[in-house]
Amino acid sequence: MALTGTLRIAGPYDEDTIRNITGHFSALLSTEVTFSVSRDDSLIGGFTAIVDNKLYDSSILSRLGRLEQHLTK
Amino acid sequence: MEQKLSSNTGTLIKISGPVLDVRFQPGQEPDLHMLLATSKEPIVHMEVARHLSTGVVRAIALEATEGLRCGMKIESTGDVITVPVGEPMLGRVINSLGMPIDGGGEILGERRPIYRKPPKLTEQRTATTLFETGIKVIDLLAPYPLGGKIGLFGGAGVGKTILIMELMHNIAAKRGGYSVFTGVGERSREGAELILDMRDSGVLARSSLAFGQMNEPPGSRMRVTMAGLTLAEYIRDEMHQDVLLFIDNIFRYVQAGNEVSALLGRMPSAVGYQPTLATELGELQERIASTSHGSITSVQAVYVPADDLTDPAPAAIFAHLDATTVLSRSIAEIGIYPAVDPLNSTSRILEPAIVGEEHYRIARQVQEVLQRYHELQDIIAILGMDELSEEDRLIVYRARKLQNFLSQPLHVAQAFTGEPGRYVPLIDTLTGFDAILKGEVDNISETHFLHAGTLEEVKQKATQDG
Amino acid sequence: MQQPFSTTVGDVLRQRLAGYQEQAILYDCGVVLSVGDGVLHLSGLGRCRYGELIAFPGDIYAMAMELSEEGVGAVLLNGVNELRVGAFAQSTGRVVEVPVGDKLIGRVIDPLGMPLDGKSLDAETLRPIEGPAPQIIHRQNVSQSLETGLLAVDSMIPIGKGQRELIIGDRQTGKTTIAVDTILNQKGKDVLCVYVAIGQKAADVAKVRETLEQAGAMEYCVIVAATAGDCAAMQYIAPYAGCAIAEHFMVQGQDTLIIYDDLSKHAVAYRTMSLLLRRPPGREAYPGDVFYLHSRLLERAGRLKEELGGGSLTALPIVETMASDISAYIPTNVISITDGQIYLETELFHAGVRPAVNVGLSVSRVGRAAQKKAMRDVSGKLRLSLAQYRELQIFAQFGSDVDESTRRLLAYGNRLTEILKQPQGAPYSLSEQVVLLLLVSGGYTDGVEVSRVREFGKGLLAFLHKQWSPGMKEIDTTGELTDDLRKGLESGIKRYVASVGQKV
Repeated sequence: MALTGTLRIAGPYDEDTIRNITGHFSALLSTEVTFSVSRDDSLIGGFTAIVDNKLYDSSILSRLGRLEQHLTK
Repeated sequence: MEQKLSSNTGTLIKISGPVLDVRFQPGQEPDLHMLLATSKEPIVHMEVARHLSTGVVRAIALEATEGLRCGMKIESTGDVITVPVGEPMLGRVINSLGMPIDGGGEILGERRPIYRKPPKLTEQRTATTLFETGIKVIDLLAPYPLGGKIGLFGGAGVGKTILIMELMHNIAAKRGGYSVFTGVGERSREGAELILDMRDSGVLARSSLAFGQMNEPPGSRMRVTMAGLTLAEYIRDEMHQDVLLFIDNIFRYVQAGNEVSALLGRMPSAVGYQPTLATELGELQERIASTSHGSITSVQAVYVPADDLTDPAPAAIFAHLDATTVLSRSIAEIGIYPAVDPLNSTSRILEPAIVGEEHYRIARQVQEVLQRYHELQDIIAILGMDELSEEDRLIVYRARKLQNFLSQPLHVAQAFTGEPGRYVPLIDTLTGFDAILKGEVDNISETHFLHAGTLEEVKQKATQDG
Repeated sequence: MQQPFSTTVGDVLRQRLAGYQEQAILYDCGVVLSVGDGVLHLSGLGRCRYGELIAFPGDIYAMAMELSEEGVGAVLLNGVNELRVGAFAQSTGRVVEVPVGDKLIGRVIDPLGMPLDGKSLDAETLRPIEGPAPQIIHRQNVSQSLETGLLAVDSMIPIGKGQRELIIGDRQTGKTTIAVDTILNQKGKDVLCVYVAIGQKAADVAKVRETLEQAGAMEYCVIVAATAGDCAAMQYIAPYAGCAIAEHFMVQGQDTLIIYDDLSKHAVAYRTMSLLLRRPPGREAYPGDVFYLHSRLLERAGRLKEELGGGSLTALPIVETMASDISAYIPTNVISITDGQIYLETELFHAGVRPAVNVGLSVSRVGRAAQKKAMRDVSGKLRLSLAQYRELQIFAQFGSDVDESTRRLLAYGNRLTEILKQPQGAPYSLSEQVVLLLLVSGGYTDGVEVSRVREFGKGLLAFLHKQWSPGMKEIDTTGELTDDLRKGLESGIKRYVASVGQKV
């Protein structure tokens, strides 16, 4: 069953990037995935993807946050 | 966990507070009352309460459910809740799952399921012997039958738990019998103190305890009542001994059932109680019986919500009892302890055929005098003592002495009152009250009758004070 | 050449980064299907836990209360009118927790740990707000006193560390005052205090904070507030959050005190939440488990065994009654949970008896075990005397002949009632309390007019603080009234009486 999802990417991106990401998720979920894509520079870098009631957060913003937490423990 | 795990595994599909729905393979649904558990953290035990539909059971959690999620695997233990019984349980404390909570290690030996049928009608024995408690107001006006069910009624904060401990102290210490104490939905602090007190007085070694206090979820509080009962039944049926079963507090059993009932989707009955109140109570009370094997004498503290004795819960409990001790706030307010209401406490055995003519006469006369005083109190409050007849004034003076003499220092209350406790044998109780009724001690001021043991003691106090 | 400074920094960073794994994080998420009255239905969130915190954009949070294959039922903790259908819901992976630790002292926060006093909060640790009560065998007897500084309470309704003592009465009878005065009296006594405001007016909470600030009490106090304007669910979690904060200190061996102001409003908030979740109503429309709501909270107070640090959590919950009805549902529930109650009466309050404590209906089940020896020595027959005084008052009202002992008791009772009156924010130390009680019970005020008794007492205290200061200090530090001290005190009183003369 095909799935739809939302993809937010930081910075300028091209069709190849979208195809890569989509292919990655289609393989991960063993089904065809289609994203509605938008740009979100607040993420600083990387992307977030919401599909099948899961949020995949691969943004620099949250990585920095986690790094900060780890360093100040 | 000692409970064996079978291969029957289901999946948690719904969580609503302490109520959990679990799906098994159709035809593999565990029976009602079966004990189930999650297979990994958080470990939570639950008991099957209903079969909802093919493959799906509804269960009541016996522990807090925070942290559980749908999809978790649930395994059936293959049995209902079982508790260790007999000698290995002496001096030990368990929870509602039959696990030790006293840090004393595993309890080995036989285990019994907490669900059983009551003894057959033909096996039951009725209670016809008085047993002495050493507490004047009880022995005189509402004596306890050996092997009977006694209810201790009182609203919040009038000394119920203290009285239970005094009874345990007096009866266990004087008769050397076995006791089982079940803490149902009461304070953990009191449970802790009770264990220490029982240890100090040597009573612990001859007792078994089960606790499911008010920090526990409702399912646990319901089941601990049956756990305690199972311990007592074993002593009666297998060890053939008389046993004293204390339950503090039987109302909490009903209350826990109420909490669970609404979430099980049952329609509420009068005053919001569960429609199954009477049957839930009956199943339990009918097991507390005396048979040819031995007797279970039970003393059950009954909390009265909002001081309302007509509340469906205490009202339903009344029907099962042979004697009642009613504690009253208004009596506590004027400083009379134990705050037992002499006019509302009753006993099925207060009749000449059982307690004898003398006892019966003295008891009834005391009650009559107190009743008259009660009636006169409005007149006194409005018009003052001077408006009473000579005869009535005498009744009032004697009534106040009787009222004061009904108070008594309790061993277990020494921490509060600073007074050591008194055990008063029945014979001295009867002599003392008879003397007051006959006017033999009219000359002694009423304050000397307060917080005394025997009449001799009162006379001594009076002489000392000049 | 090696630069020692930069090497050190580099080393530290390397060390800290070792073991750090950089990966993308996976969150469970979902979408709002319906929302109204603070109750949400959400799709997705398949791995949500019962009691889990769910996050929404804009710092909005909800708590999961019903989990099934059809979705999640949750109650909003804030942002009630801000969410719409279709809003994005993200699981946080943890049950509702509150920040705990030293950083909280002196602060005012909401039950989720968001600061309400304008400064940021950076707490190191989080603790789930729900947790098990100390086990029966981990507890030890309550035997150390927690002094309120209020003579009427400390003498006859003594509170011990680890006890739960209810403060109950109609509105405006001084309940919060007793709680706040108790916090003030903990200064320098190494007791950490948490004041939880539930459903109160924000202005009233601000007033409490101001009182504590001015007395320097915020140095050992944390305020957790869910005011009347907050969601029912936020008010519901407030006491548990406060309890978790206090517990964190208790398990480290610290003595703590927590005030729940008040549990009546708490029960109402829970009722609101339950009814909106369509859980069936019971008595007075409260849900069937409203007892468990408070029992599991208050059972978390207690005193731990020395092997576990010996810490304690003393709880002073407050319940408001309607028309003095202590037999109503919530009041009787909480009375049956706590270890006693301080009952405040409107009539007494209006008659000028403040604190308006009805000694007859008040009780402390922990009893005298929690009193300092000096207090025990001088307060033995107090309760009983007052009880008999009250009964005799009615009996003797119509001028019937009273015998000498009765007349004496009435005079004693009158003066005792006077000396028990105490102004707000003026706690008495142990020595001061002992002095005042000895003053009246020793008969030294028999010749003083009833209305002048308090003034007399005040004068005596000032006199003794000046002329007998070492004696007063010794009573305070040792907690005992030795024979020598008693003699010294009695002679001090006699000297004062002589110097002032018993002016009528």
